[in-house]
Amino acid sequence: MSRGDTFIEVKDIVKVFPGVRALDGVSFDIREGECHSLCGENGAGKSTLIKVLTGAHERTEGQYLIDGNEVHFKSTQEAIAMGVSCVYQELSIVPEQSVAKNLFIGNLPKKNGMIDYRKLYADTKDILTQLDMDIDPRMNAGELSIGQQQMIEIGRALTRKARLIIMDEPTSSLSEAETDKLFEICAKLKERNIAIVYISHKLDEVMHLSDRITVIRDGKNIVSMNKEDTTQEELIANMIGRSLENMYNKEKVEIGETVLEVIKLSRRNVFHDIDFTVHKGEVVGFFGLVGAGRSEIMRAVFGADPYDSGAVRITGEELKPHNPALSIEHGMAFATEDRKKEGLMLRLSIMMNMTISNLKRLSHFGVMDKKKQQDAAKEFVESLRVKTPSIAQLVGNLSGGNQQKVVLSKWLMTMPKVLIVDEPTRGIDVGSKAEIYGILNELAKSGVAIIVVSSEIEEVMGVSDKLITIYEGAKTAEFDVTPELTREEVLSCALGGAPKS
Amino acid sequence: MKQAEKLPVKEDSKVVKFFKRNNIILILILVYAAAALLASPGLLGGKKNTFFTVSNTYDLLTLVGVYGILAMGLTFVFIVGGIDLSIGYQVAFCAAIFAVMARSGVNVILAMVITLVCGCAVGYLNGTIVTRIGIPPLIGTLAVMTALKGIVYIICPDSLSVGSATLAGNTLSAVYKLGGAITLPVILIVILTVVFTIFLKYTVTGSNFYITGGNFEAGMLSGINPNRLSRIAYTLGGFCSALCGLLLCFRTNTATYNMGDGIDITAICAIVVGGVKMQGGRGNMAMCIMGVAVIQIITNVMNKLHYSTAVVALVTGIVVILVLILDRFTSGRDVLDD
Repeated sequence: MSRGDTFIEVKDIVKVFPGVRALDGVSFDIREGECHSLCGENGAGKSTLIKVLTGAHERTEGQYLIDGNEVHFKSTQEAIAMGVSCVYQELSIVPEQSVAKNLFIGNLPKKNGMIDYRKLYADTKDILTQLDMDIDPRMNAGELSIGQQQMIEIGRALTRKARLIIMDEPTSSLSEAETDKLFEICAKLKERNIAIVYISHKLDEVMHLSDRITVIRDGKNIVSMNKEDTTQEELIANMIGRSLENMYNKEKVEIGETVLEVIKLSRRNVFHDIDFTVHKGEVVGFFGLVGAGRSEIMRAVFGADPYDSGAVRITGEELKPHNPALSIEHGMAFATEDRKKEGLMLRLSIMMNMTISNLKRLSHFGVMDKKKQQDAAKEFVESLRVKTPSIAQLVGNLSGGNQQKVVLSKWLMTMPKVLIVDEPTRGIDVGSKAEIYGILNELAKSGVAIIVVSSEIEEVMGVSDKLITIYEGAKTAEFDVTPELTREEVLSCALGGAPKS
Repeated sequence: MKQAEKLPVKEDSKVVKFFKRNNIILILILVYAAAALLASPGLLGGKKNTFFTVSNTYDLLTLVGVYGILAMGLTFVFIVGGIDLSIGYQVAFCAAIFAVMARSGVNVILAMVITLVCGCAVGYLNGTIVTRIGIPPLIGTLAVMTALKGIVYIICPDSLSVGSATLAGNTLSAVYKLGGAITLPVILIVILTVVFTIFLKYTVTGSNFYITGGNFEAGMLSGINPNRLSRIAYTLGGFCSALCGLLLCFRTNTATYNMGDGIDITAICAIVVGGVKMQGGRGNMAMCIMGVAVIQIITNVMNKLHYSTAVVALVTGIVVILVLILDRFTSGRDVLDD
């Protein structure tokens, strides 16, 4: 086959997980030696598509053709054998082993049943030369920089005679110099007729590197086009262009005095110079892509992570030395992103989960007052409409939406002045989402200052009064949410662009 | 997020790097010198130095041989990222079934082979429990340990003599001793160290043990079947335990129910001191043997100086902690990074 010929085709791929249609008829093709980018918002189905391509998932419906023959991969191994390799976002380096062994993992050269070290090191030298790397094949891979480790992963694909290398957010932890290096190697791979499927949130990279771009949204491919025929703005429009259902019901609330003030908060290499204020009754949305540093900022504001400089003030009083206990004492509450890991004890009852942060108030001289606990839990089960037969139900048995309500109840019992919710509706069905938004509305009306962190643009725009975009650890823009504000404007700031005007 | 640019770090020379990674060599020399010195008459020793003698050195080598074999088995398990708490009772179990067979007149060679197969079987059982059923190794092997303890108490309620009058008994004692310095354990450990080292370095299976313990997921994605490799490692562990059990049985011609008490923990301490990583992916047989030597020297010298078992245990514990602290300092980055 020669350069530019189509060799991989996927047609109408459908992937169904229990209750979710993650892919709903995706079709696209890959040509020899091209760089084909996949773009889409979080949850659009990119990851699922990659997993289908690499054999990590089996497709539910549709066709997957390599060189015109239909394939059914049952493992990543089978895909690798057919020339489809993937460089994962999470690097899979064995740190205590040599560069050579890392390159030829699962594929070591043998002579008389023993490892042929001479050939191994010679072959490694060869691969390293192709990658422009001047390192000792015997050194431990753990001593390499992240960028070099990533090169090793690409080298691994080369040792397996890959025809297609899929790169999933390869630059997310690379420095600029390392990124440039990666681009050089990509160009070399293309010359050697190896195709690349490139996935990145960074649209400038996508525009720089790609020959063709496919946009995926809601598990469907929206459009495939040549790079020359499109612009960054058009890509963004395609990535988000769906109509917004009116599930937010944002009500106008009187904004009161300043409650939370964050001043020039910085943490080396994580975020810097974060400034913002939240007022009584106000909802401030934080939007940024995964890895932009949103959650890290919130953890620092809450005192769960350290920061190097800056200050956090609640009603004018600086929190110092800052730790979560002090924040809670001053009326801050933080419903974390990962509710199962950080927010809930799945094997305890609803009542225990709700009251766990309030046991002091619900006990006498260290002895828990069962009656008070029950009353408090019942009150919140009713007011937040948690669907459960009883407050003795184990939280692990509840649906995602109801679990989230339990998390909120737990924090609301502390009667917070400031409530931070990180990804409040992740993994929650649409109906419960609307209820969660309703609860946030009610709280704002009662005068709570609320911060909503989300990677869903519609959500932050729907619930917030004010919106702050974060890109690579820095605040790029602050918007008042008005009907005139467009998603394109917000998204471009979250992708590192400067705000208009 | 941008990766922090690498700060310029002063590069260590190759020699320094080698000793930082293998500080057990220095520790071993240090401990041996300290032991020899402390046991001399001027210091803690009595009329004469009972530690630093030819015959005690032979004894010491034999001890390293017996317990080194056990520790080598555990080293395989550590490299794949597992742990086996049942090795102590594997030793007692294997010794007991060997004694039972030898007493009832089974051919000695056949009895030894059967014992080794039983050891492998128990090791494989451990591996299966951990990899196929998915019980964490700490708990799974603890359960096996408890069960083995029960079995040992049943077949060997007190002690079982192979009988020095029997032909088997005679031969074994003779073989065990051979000529002074060259005892069976010493011969065996030399051979096994060579074989196991080649296995780990030059065979694909052995080499992949490190992948299994170093990055299970990466191994999985590269199609090397880390679960199967884990089972092989546990099986090798069982084999080594059986061998250790046989040696201990040969030494005194008896099997006792409490033969394995404590030697499991000593083996764990020894290989950790040697620098074998408990989290998996790092270690080799040389490290293991040197670690065992350090622990055996400490025990031996203190026995010679007539300290009680309690003091020996206390000192051993302190040494293990000191070595680990030293390890943290020399390999530095591990700690400072979190």
